[in-house]
Amino acid sequence: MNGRTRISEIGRFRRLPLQRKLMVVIMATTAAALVLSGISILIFDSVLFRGYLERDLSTLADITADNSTAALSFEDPHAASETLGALRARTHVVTACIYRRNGSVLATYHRAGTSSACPDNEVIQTIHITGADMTLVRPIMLNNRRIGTLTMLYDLRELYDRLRLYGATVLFLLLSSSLLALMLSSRLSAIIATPISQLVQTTTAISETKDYSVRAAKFSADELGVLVDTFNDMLAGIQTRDNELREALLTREQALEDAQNARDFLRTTLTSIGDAVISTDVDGCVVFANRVAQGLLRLPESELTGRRLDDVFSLIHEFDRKPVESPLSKVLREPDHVTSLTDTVLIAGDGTEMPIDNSVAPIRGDGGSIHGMVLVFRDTSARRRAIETSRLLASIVESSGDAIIGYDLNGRITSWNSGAENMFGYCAVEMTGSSTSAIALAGQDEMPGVLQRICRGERIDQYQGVRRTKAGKVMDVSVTVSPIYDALGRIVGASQIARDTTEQVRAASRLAELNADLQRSNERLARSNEDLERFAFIASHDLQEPLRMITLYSQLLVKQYPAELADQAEACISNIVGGTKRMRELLADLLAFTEIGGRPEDPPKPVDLNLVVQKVKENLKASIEETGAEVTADPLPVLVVNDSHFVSLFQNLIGNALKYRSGNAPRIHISLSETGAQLRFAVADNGSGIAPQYHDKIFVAFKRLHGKSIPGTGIGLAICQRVVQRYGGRIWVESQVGQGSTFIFTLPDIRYAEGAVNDRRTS
Amino acid sequence: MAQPLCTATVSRRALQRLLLAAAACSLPCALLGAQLAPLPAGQPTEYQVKAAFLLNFTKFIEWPVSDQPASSAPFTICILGEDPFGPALDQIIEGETANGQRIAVQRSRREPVKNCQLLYVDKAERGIPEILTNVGRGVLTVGEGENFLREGGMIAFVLENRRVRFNINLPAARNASLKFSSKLLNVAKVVEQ
Repeated sequence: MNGRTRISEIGRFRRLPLQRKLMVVIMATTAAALVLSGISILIFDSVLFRGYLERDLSTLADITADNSTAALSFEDPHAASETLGALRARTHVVTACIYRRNGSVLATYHRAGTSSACPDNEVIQTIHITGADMTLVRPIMLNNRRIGTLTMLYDLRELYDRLRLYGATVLFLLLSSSLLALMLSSRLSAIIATPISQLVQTTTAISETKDYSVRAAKFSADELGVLVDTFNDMLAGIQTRDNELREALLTREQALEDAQNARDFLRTTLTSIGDAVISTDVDGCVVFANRVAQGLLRLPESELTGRRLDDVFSLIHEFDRKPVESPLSKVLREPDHVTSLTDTVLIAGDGTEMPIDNSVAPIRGDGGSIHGMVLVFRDTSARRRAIETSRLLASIVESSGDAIIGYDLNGRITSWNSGAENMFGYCAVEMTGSSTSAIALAGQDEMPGVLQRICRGERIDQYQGVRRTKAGKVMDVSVTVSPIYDALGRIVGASQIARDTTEQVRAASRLAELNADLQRSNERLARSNEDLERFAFIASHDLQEPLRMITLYSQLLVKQYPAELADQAEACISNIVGGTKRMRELLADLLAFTEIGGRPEDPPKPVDLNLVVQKVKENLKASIEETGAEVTADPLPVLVVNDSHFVSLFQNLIGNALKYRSGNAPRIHISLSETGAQLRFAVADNGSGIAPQYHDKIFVAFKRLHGKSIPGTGIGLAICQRVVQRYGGRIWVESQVGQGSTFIFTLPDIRYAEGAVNDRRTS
Repeated sequence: MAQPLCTATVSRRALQRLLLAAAACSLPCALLGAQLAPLPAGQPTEYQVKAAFLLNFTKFIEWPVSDQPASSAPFTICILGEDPFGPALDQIIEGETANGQRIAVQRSRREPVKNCQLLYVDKAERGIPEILTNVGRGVLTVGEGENFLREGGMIAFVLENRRVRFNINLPAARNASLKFSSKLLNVAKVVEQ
């Protein structure tokens, strides 16, 4: 424990900076010297002083003893006391006594304030020290005879006071000189430590930054100066060597990098080469196989490397399938040739066969000796397939009935198929290499321009052209021109496919004539239809007036001449009035029917169908009340329509339902549903129903199923159909006899939208 | 190698033993010396003290060289008149020397006393001034009472609080070419007559 503490303290001291160490050493030395000298002085002085004191006191005692001989001799205590009283000058003398020869006390002296007893005069030692006191015993001699004894008690505090004073002085000296030493040493040690710590800083900086161009500063010409100079010289040496080393390293790294790059480049080249590359040593063992070779041989590099070439694959001749001589033996036999093998088939380790082209060459070292061989081969099956494909395409082209002509970019013909031979009468030999002008009409050759557009990458749509045959016949052709790309996707030419369309053109012109005829007859038909409608309108409108007059005068006749007319006449006139009334209704319906047609009308506007149904119910109020019918409706939309059309529509449908009722009170319901973009309205009743065979006929004008039994003009449903069709919808009926009828009509979504109307108003 | 090392060890041990023995011996020897010192039991008599003083005077006084007797001659203490000391003086000077000479005591009843270095004059003597006048140079004169100094004596014993003290007539001493130690003067009362 103690030892470890000491070691750690020594370690701590070792770690101290040099300046501190120097200071500590100086301080320790100073302190040690001071303490040592102080103690020496103290000891020396105490010993000396004691000796001096003893001598002094002995002398004093001798003198006193001598002076007291007379007093003793003549028994004079008074004189003896006086003699002893002289001791008063020595303050440290506590007690002194003079004994007679027989041991009785003659005289005593006590220091003022003390009254200690006389020491025992029997003590033999002349000087006796007990604690802080020293006792002296002197025989008093007269003429060599002992006549008495002097004893003296001395207080040694003088000695101790002196020692204490000395100690304090030494301590003070120690402290003040330590302080002085501290101040001096901090200055003095700096003289040595500062250059060293500067040197240390420099070395530390150098070792951290590796910057050998730094130099240590020199402060003095002593050993430290020499050290700094030597260090700087050493640094210069290191710097030089460091630079050289650096350059050498750089050169080496560059060389290594170059070599690595070259190796990488070669390897990359070999790896990325399109052909399979395998190199072997002289024994035919694989050293390297690139990725293509690994792929073709169906083996990873790890399984290829080190194996004999003959174990990896075998070569046979393409046609007779006999084994081909091993490439290695061939190379060894003919080392000066690069051997190329064609028409060979490679059989890979897994039995896959592929036709290959290959070449074999020896690998020679610097001395020309053969180190191995390199085998380069290529799978030619794709090429063979391509050749077959092109042959197939060529035969397709050749057998095509269309003329297929190839051009280069200069407009020169490069191919000319048999279709072209047949079509234009020129044979391929004649045309290959010539320009297109041979088959063009004079001044109408469009091909050079088309080819230029092709070159620019433009797309040419099929177009109609004109060509001239060798025999001079002009023919219409449909032409398709397409670019021809090479393997890299560049346009290298164009192909023209021409089809003889002379017959087609002729047929097309006939068709156009027929269409024109049709158009004309249609127009005539439409005109006559229009005339007819106008006539119907005018007739139905203008015929009202004469009818009214017939009715009026017939009624007037009955009124004016009731007596003159026979009863039969009255019946006849009644029939006339009834007939005219019917005719008027018929004319009104006819008018309505024609109005729905092409007549100019009010523009459509938003119409609330709920209000329309309401109006219809009011129009039919009498009939509804009479039959006790119940007419209900779903909430209906607002449509952008002509309101009179929809009043007619709903009035006819509801009217029919009321009219063709069964025995029960009619229940009529209008429902609405949406299917897709269509509105589907249904008007369902519980009436007599309609047999399916009549479902189509009822919409034809003036077609009536019930004859005259039920009043009507037979035009209502025709009007309905016309209204629905006018708005682009469809109307039909779903019904069975006795099970009621449901009239269904669809309309496109012509619902009113607030925004849409606003848009229309603003535009 | 082992042999010298062994002897060195032995000799050091021997030295230590010797030192220990010396230390052990020194303390009883010192104690013995102290006990052997002639300490008269009880309070000494007046003249025993004075006898000791007489001896001690010789130790603090320097006699002129020319007046000193030959080295073979004894240092003579003369007592004139009645001898008050009795055997005490003889006991005191037994084995002692003064001024490097053995001490002899000469007692005489009347004058003249010759060849004395110290003359003690008993207090009962008459005509002390004449006696003192006849005394030659180099003789320390010791007597009793303060009058002795006035009569020309050098040292006179006096009693203070029943303690023996002495006074010194310094000019008389100078006239006799005797040098009194300052230590002696310190413990005496000096009278300038």
